Amino acid sequence: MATATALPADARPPAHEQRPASIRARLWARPGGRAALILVALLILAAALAPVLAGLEGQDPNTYHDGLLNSATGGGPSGAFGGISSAHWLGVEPSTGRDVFARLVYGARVSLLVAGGATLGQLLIGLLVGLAAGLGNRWVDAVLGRFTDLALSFPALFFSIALLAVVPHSFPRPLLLCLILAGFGWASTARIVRAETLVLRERDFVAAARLYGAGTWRIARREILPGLAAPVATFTALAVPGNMVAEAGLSFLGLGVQPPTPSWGQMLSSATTWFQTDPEYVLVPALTLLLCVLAFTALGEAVRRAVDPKEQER
Amino acid sequence: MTVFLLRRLLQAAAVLLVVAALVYGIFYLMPGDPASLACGKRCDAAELAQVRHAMGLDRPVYLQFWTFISSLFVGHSYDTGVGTTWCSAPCLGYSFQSYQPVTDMLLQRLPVDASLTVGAAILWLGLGIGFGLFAALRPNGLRDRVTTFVALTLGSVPIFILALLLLLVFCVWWQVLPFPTYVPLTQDPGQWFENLLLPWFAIALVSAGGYLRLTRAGVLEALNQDHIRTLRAYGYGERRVVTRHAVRGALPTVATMAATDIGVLLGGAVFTETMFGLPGLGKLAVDSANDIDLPVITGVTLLAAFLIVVVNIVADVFYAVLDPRVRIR
Repeated sequence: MATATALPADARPPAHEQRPASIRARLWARPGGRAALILVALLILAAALAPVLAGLEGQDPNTYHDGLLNSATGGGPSGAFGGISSAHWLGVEPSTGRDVFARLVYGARVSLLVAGGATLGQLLIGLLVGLAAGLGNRWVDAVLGRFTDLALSFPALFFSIALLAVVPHSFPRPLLLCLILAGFGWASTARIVRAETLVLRERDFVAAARLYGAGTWRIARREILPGLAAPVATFTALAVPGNMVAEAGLSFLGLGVQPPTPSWGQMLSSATTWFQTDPEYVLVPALTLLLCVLAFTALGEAVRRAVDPKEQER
Repeated sequence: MTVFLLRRLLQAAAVLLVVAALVYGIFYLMPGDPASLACGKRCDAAELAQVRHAMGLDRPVYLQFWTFISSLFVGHSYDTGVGTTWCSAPCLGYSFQSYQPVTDMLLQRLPVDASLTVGAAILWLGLGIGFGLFAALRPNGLRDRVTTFVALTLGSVPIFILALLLLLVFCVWWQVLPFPTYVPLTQDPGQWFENLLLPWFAIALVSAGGYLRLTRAGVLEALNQDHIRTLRAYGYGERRVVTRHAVRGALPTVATMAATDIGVLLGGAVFTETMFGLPGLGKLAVDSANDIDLPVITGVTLLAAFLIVVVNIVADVFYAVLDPRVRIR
């Protein structure tokens, strides 16, 4: 993509350009893929327009509404279904009275941002390590291979928990979450990239490029990378929901995004103490996160099918 | 076989050493002084220096790490200021919060995770293999597609959400089960079972999908083989061919995956334990992280890494034993 200006348009092999476009078309052609795409697009839109949506409702995520709480239930919202009203579309938070809808749409920003950033990080590290292992000499491959094995047999969750506890809170949390999730999650991408690279490097067009005097870096970028599009696209699409769950989980444990920044994980963890009196407050973040994860998983599955040559024959 | 095991054990030891070095590095070299954490809030300079000395923090880092590693094997004596205490091997130090030996704390928590793992594993294997066979009986038929879809969907549900929904339905709305608390098996088996039912189901429902897929794929592959053709020629029914004979084709991969999952789960189920309030290793990790209780979280992480590594070796051996085509080299 970034190299598009490096060569005149007619010198580019047309196959490289058509491939991603046809993946997109195949994705759109399947009803499942289309539904997932639309749902994911709506979610991203909701996150991007969080201030607008909250403004439409006339609320913001951080204002306390003590007047809407019922002291008889220990600070639960007054009114049915968690205090749902025309002013508060999804009710208010117990004990603080903050607007649930506003916190939900703002929480989507953190969720998508961290999931996207972490996936991008995993992809970059995985591509670099995988390409280097696949194209480098035996020694490089062996060292990186050990390194990848090590990363795969790591108790990543415990490490993340430990790191999040130790790093000072002055360090921006969403960035830290991205770094940690990327730092522990690149290994399987690297494996796939290496395996695909080992196949691609034996192909004639790579030999031809080498004959023309292309260096390793240029071969990696111009010859190998386009061929990796399919497996990498699948893997990336399936990694997003995983990272989303990881972020929500770590925030749920109180180690992720810190208050007052709204996040779904935090909403879930504060909801657990309101089980009995205010089940609606539990359901809203739980079902939203569930919907998001399922939508992204369905999209990932659709991408896998659109890319997989075996599925085309059916 | 012996050479293979030796090589794997050496590799495992190397992995564990690196993990230990990393955990140690994260905690003891990070900003934030372990001595002042251990000493508490009201701690003057002299006391701090004494704690620092007692913890060995005034010595070079490589020596500290060496002490940390060697005390795992031969124990270590601690200078508490008024005398010395002996921490016997495998020594992981003392908690900053409760001053208990970390090894003891881990051993106290292990039965919870063992209980959790046993029940969950039985359930997910039963569900996964059962429905996998059910799906494989008529591949691409309606019931195959429905079970595969349900399993896939359940498998992508985050465990803490599933746990939350189960609690909401069974404990709040229907009130047929108690809010889980851990009751040791030795104390009251009935209570133990009743309280662990929801956690078991939460883990099993999320995990079973993978086993369903593996079983289905393994059986479908086995169905193409000659011995199955022979059985069919003898006139055995499809059900019998699938559930008695083709199922063996799926066993090696299923056993391998089960070994890995069991190892990971034994090391602590962070979300399940937090959600259901079970005092296992995962809960211990979260609590000690929130308290910045460094020796404890180091211990939990090392134990988890140890279990993963051990179980990976067991899985390799399993695979070779169950699948005669695989030769261990």
